[in-house]
Amino acid sequence: MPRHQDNLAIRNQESAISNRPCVALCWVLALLLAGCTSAVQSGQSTLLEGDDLIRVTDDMAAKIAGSPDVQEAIRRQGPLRVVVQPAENHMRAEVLPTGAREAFTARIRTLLAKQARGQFVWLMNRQEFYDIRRRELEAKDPTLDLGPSPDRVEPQYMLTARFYSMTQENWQARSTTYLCVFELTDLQQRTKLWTDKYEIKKAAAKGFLE
Amino acid sequence: MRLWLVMLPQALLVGAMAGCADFEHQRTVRRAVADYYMGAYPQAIARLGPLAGDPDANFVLNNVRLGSAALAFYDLDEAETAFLRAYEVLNSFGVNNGGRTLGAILVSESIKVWRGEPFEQAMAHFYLGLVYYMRQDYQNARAAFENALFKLRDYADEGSSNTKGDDRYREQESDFAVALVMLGKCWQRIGREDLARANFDRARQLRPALADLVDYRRNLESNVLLVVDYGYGPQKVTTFDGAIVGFAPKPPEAGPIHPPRIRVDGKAVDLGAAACPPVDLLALAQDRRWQSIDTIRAIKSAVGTGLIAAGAYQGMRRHGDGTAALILLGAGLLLKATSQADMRQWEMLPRTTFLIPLRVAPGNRDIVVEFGGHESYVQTWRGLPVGARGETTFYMRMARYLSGEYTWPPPPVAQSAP
Repeated sequence: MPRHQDNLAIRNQESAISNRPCVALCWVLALLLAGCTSAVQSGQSTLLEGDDLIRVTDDMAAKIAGSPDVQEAIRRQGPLRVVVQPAENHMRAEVLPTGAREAFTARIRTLLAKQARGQFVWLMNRQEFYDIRRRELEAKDPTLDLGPSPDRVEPQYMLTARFYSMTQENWQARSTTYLCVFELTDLQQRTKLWTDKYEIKKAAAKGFLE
Repeated sequence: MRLWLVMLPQALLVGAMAGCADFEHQRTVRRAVADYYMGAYPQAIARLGPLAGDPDANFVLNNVRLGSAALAFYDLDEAETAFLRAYEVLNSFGVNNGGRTLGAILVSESIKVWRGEPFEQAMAHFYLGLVYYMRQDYQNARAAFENALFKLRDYADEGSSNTKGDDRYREQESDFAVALVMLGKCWQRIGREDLARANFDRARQLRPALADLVDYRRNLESNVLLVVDYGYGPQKVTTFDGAIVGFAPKPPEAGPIHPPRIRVDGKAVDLGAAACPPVDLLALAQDRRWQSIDTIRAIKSAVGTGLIAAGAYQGMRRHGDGTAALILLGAGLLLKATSQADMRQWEMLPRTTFLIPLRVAPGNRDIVVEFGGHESYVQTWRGLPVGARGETTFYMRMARYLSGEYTWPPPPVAQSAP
């Protein structure tokens, strides 16, 4: 091998050795930058999330529509007049804010309105009715009579949801088991036309430095 | 070597830019905290609002700060949103996995997403519960207060079979009896007398001084609940050249907590022993647990000191190697610089939160809350609406510059009124 090629090889080798700390630093920086996701992107929790909402409501809507008792009631009485109530939070240590509480039953209403067209008539619940009337009409005329009570519309059935949970937390992990009970109650007879449940189990392990 | 010459200025530039952004962030936060303690809550909210929306390492911290300001201003929607955002991250694990953990170990602990000390986490959940309680959403309030107690369960060692862990949890639970009292009150409002009594009994058992406050009948008959945040919470301090963190002042240094005096329409109300502080955050902060990151910082600091000493020795030797001395000194200083403790904290926390259930004649009432002692705080609230049934909750923040007269309704309440 010619002498100038030897020198070149030695220089390249020296350069590679002198660049090693730099490459290592670049790797550390790259790792840091790649790993620094936003505070809300990373992490694992045992809270109910959007995916759970979709899974639970898809399942429950299909079960209501497919229930022989519900179909029999529709055959006898025609479309069922159903009022929808927000989910009730009976969970041990999980907060269910107003929006999420309404979403769990509202999505079932929307799914059934699409999939079982003509089988249900959906009535607003009292709170929703008064809120909308007050917001839309009273703002223009404060003396306006808010009209007949929604009770006079006489819903036959009420769709409700109750969420329960058991939560354990220690220094290593947190685990939560959810039980979501949905019911279609006959308001006149005080009987349950349909009831079903959905169970979810979630666990999250605490990481180093947590 | 040339690559180093290119990289070094770039690294310095990036570092300087990051430093400027951090400085600006800190300045905004300092101003917001000053606004908060001057009673300029809308200004504090305006400063913290944009910061709280940024999901960076201070996401939780800025949201709890925003929540504090919004709660004091009675902007309950904003307070709920802020505390809920904090709640979601506080109940997620692994938010610091990967780069943030590595960064916290190698560079600075402040790269970590701030999650606070257990007492700060417990207070974040407590305030979320309080917002729901004020809105009479007792199921969500109950869940949040229960979660506040969970946050202190961290202190129990590896399992409930561990007696030492049980004792430690019991001690923490006792110190945070304020959540147990509110949990009992929630169950009472939900109509579960059994669970209400169980929680009141637990609070009484852990803190006998709270016996009057957790009296079942007193709480059942109460139609006004005053939640009074008093004084200043613990401040983070460092010792051992900034590597070891602690909280000050200690309760004896800060002096005793003076009980409040209440006047309704000019008439003094006999609170008896019910005006007992259910929590002392200064005491709770002293129970700070030694964590893995503390060990890492302490080791880095000690090794840094050793390297500096070795570098100095090498430099002073008659035939010492100058380059080696410089490298040792540089490495030592770098280790010292990266072993500084994370000083971020929730500055708005009070020293204690008084819970004062009252039975007051329905109507609009003027209520004066007064504290004696070396610093006397007085707030007069005019026209507080009191109902005949149910319990209306009023939140008051008492600190040095917050004395004065307040007229109901505060602007956010007036705007949301039908």
